[in-house]
Amino acid sequence: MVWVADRQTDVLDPVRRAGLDATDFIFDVAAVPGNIWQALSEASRSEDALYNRVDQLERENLVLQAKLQQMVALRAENSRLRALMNAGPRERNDVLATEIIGVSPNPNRQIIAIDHGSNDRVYPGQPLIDSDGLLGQVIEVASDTAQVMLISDASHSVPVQIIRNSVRAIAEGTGDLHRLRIEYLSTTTDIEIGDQLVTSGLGGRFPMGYPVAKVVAVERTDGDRFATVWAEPLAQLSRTRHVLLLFPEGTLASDINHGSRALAP
Amino acid sequence: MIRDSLVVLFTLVIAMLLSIWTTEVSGLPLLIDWVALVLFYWVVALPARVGLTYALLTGFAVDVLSASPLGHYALIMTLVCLFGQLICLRFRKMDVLSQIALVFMLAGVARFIDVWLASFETQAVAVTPPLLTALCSALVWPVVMQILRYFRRYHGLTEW
Repeated sequence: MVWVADRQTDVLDPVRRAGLDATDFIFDVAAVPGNIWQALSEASRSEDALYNRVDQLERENLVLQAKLQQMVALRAENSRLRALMNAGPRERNDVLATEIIGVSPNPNRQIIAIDHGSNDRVYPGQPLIDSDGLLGQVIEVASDTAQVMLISDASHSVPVQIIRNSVRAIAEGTGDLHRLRIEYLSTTTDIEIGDQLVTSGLGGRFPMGYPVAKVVAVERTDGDRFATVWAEPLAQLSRTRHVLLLFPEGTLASDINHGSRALAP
Repeated sequence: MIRDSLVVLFTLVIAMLLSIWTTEVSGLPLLIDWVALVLFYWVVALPARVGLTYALLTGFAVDVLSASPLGHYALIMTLVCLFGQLICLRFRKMDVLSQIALVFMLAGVARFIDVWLASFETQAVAVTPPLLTALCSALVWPVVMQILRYFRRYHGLTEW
């Protein structure tokens, strides 16, 4: 009865939330060995290695800064052009860095836990990215943790478009971390192996333009209406530890450099 | 009395931690159904004390942790508990191999109920093969049983 009630209605949502608040210490404790391991491996790294790492990061930072300079100019140019075409300004996002603290032990779904919750204004349906692409969306929020469904979950779909020619499609999860299925593309659609897929922004849940996946296989069978297309997620779904929560612009008072704690209301 | 239930609850929480860790290390969620194993041990060892209340509470906790509809895992735990209550006397007399065989069967049935329920909920694809879970759970059963038995005797928990 409880199962039916929770599945069909949202009367049990407060109960579930309270339950998550009461049990989320398990995720916190579960993250302890990983943190200790990380701290140990950092502490045991030699000075030389650290210098090298700093050096490498500085260089990376320089490259990124250079790209950013160009980005500012491009963004200005883009908004001028959009104004000329009477199009509205592009939506921009604030981000909040968060950490993955656990993987849910559910054999049928792909769900992870992150260490920010409603106290940091995380809301259900909120998109998450890592440094390479779209990771998933928030499905359950407790005070200090939230649960995130990965884009590879079998019940997850994300509206995408091909960068090369703006053809729209839907990327569905398959339950396999390295495979997405691209649905509803007719056999005559122009799609090739290596095509980049980005979020299309349709549906309003995921903002436009974030990388999602790369096409790895296209099968066209004569007589079928739709092509079978497989893509590989760009985000590192199984390895990443630090991820970014996307907020609509202006929700967060500070910028990315201020870290999470500065953002509390 | 309260201390005794805390002992049981403590082992169940450890089981939940273990299931999160095995998921992280192996990449296969629920490769070993630790929570069901621990609950089954307590039901078999102390059938008069550990019953449906523990089964339901643990089930709801796991449901919340794994973001499945409340009652999903609770139902499975209830069945595991019921089965444990039914066979506890015979189970205690069995040798290790028969116990492993029986746990394999029980864990397998539990997994199939899980897949069956999940197929109602979403377009579920079992990430970990159900029988693999059953096999791994059965193989670690003797270890789990020895550790929990030691733990139980250390804390002086007896049936009555």
